[in-house]
Amino acid sequence: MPSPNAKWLAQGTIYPDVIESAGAKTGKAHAIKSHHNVGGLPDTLKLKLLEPLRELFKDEVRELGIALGLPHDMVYRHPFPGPGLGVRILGEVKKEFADLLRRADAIFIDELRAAGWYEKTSQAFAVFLPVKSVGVMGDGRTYEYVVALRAVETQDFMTAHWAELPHSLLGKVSNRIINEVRGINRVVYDISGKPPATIEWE
Amino acid sequence: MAHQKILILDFGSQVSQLIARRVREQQVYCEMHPFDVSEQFIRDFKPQGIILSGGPNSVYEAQDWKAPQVVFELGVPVLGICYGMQTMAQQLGGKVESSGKREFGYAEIRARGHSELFKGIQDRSNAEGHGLLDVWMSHGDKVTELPAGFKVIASSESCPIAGMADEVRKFYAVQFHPEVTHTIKGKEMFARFVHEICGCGHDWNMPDYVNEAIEKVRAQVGKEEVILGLSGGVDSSVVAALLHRAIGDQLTCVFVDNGLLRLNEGEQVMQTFARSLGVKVIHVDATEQFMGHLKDVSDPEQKRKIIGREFVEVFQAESAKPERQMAGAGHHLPGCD
Repeated sequence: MPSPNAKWLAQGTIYPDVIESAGAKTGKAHAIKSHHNVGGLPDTLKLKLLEPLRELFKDEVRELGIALGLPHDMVYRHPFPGPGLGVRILGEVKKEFADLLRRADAIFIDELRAAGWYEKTSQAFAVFLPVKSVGVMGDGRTYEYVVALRAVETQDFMTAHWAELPHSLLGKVSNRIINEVRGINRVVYDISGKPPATIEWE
Repeated sequence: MAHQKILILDFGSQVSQLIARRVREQQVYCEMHPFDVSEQFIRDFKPQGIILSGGPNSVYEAQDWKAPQVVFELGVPVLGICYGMQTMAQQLGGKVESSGKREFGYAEIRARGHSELFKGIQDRSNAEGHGLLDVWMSHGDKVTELPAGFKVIASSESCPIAGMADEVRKFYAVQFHPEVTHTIKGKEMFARFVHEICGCGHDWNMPDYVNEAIEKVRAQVGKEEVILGLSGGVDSSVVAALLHRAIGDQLTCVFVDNGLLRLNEGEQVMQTFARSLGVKVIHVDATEQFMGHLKDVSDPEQKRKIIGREFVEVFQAESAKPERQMAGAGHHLPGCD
């Protein structure tokens, strides 16, 4: 069997993942969580499970991170889905799309931080739309992909409002993405609330 | 270290978890459990106080959705919230009835009877000097008759018994939801209940908890080795930092770059953990493998499954490699691709 040395598999399970609610018994009030911790691994690796955060809420995990000396930006980073950009590239995932999206997303986050909006939003990211639209750049006509920006404010991620980012900020982000990321010629802003839309697009 | 603890019994409200967060905010440890845990469990828990949550049922319809009787016999303070108030009233001999229509949203209540729970807590006062509070209501039923020994501690126009208490036994109950932020003074009410009424100190905070967490990990793991999948997310990062502090080189992290990470994420993880903290991190670039398996797949659920499955594959393969044994023997492998 693999791993002759390790006896334990550590995981970042937190308290809300393990709370057994009264609703669960009746199947009521129990949201199904698609958990991105490493399900199945302990069995296949024959390891014991070590979950040192299982008594803590997310805000406590963050405080613990700070107390342990982790950088503030890492600890207060917006949530990122387990499948990563895989669910922020709509439809088929290609390396080329991931590369474009990564750069567009970084520009968006950069500008949010610079404008003091990163901390005011609960989650912000770019989404790659695999459709092409027509544009003009310089003397030439372009036919390239679209990126959607998503920024939401929420207390608990159960419901969320789209963030009313200043138009000037959105304009700057759009400009930079279109100028700096060759392959994107159109940027749109998602103004859907949750519900009825979800925060992530997939 | 033994913390003073509050026990929250959950009756299925959507916002029950917020109760636990409000209590923890007060630097008091608490746990939330389904309302039908055993009496023995409650005794063994040794709560300093008990909170009964809200829930979607009616006390006269769901006969078995009750607080275990021991809750009222332990001699510790109890706070009932919404359904928790109704079941407390009914179990102790009061009366609960449907009010005919649901009350949902903001309500103004008047604090009455100088209860310990609300004393000095108000948003404003009326001309007669009565304290008024803005609270959040969400209920169809209400208490219409007090159990013996109780008095009214809050009332509103539509809900004459919006709060009740037996201050001798330290049983308190409110029809509104102090745990949601819409109840402006909710935080003060929780502070009052856990600190003054239950007598809990402030023994739950993360800077102090660090050492406790470290000791726990050491006791659990001993001299054995641990592997951890590092993702760049907050939770796994904090686990890595904690375990590194607790068990040093007994920890090996595997960081899988699946090609779907944010810009420079891998670099940042290696910088923070491998280079600054000196954690053993095996960095695997599995972009090709992931992209290969994702080719021609466009269904979101399918993509999620594949990404999860491939992660397990890579993680398993990495932790089985001979280098892992070297790592286990104390060799640092910072940033090996």
